[in-house]
Amino acid sequence: MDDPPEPTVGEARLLALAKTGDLDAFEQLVALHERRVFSLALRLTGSVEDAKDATQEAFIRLHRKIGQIDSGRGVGPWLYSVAVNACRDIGRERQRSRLVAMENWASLAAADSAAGPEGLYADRQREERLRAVLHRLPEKERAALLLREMEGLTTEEVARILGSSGATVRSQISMARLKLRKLLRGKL
Amino acid sequence: MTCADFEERIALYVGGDLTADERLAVEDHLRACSACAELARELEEDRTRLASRPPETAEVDFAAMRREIRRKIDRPRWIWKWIAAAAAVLLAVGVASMLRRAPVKQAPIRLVAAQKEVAAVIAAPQPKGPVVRPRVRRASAPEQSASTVQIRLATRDPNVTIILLHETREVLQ
Repeated sequence: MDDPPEPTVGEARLLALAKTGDLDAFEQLVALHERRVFSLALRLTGSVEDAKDATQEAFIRLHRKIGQIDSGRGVGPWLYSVAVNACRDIGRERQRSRLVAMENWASLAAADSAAGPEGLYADRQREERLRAVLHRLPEKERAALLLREMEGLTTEEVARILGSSGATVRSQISMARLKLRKLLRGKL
Repeated sequence: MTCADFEERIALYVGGDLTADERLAVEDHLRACSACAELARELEEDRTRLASRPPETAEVDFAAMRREIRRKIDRPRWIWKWIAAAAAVLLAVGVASMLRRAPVKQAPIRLVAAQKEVAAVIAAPQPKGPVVRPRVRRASAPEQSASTVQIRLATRDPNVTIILLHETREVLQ
């Protein structure tokens, strides 16, 4: 697992320039974080298109609020928080417009993980199944688990990003791990 | 404590999310319970699976995404520039028209002396507020044979004063 992103000297300089309205610096800042944000969004939303939308929205919101970013903490934590909110908004929009065919997710989640040959295809199958299973977790538990496991953030950092207490996040992470285990093994 | 009681703690234990005391208690239980040890092994396996491989991102054109982000950021700037320019033009036109406008004329003071006009004013709707009692002032001209009574009605409108004139003439025989 990669370490959580910390503000490097380069990032701090880019952030300072972006705050003055330098769009090239802002674009480089985007390039530094886009893959992590997209990966998180992909697992939160379960859809490549939604993840792209959420990633774009997160960076547009970052640009709008860049003057408020604490240079000492860097862009990362703020960006994750915004990305989680953007994913929630997109999820609500999808639920309203009924564009998500939940039965597809359910069937993927129920599929046998051993299906398919080894190699790239099997990896992709596993990844898709993992995404499908994650999508069956409650939204807040999913977000807490992914920030903790994928980004390696501490419980306190996750709590700050999600605007919850540390105790709540601990409980959400614990429940999410137990549910994920059952879902992956077809016990739920 | 039963195994069910330990489940949540084991889920936190695998992620290193317990205090030292809690961790020791869980480790004691795991040594004694093979079912819970199996649970911990599976939870650990899932964590590794989640954390070790980032999702497939090769299918995403990040350069195109950056261009799109930049386009969306740039667009509002142009819109605001146009709005500012339009506002400046409107302001200039407004100021010019105000400067050309003739000075505002004061409403003429209406003096009502004729009885018909007094009646018309009295019939008109009265402004709200306390009733203004008429001040009666007698203006007699002792050197004249005719005496004149003037009643001045002050209304709430400072521009409107109602004046009633009554003249009495003595007929000399």
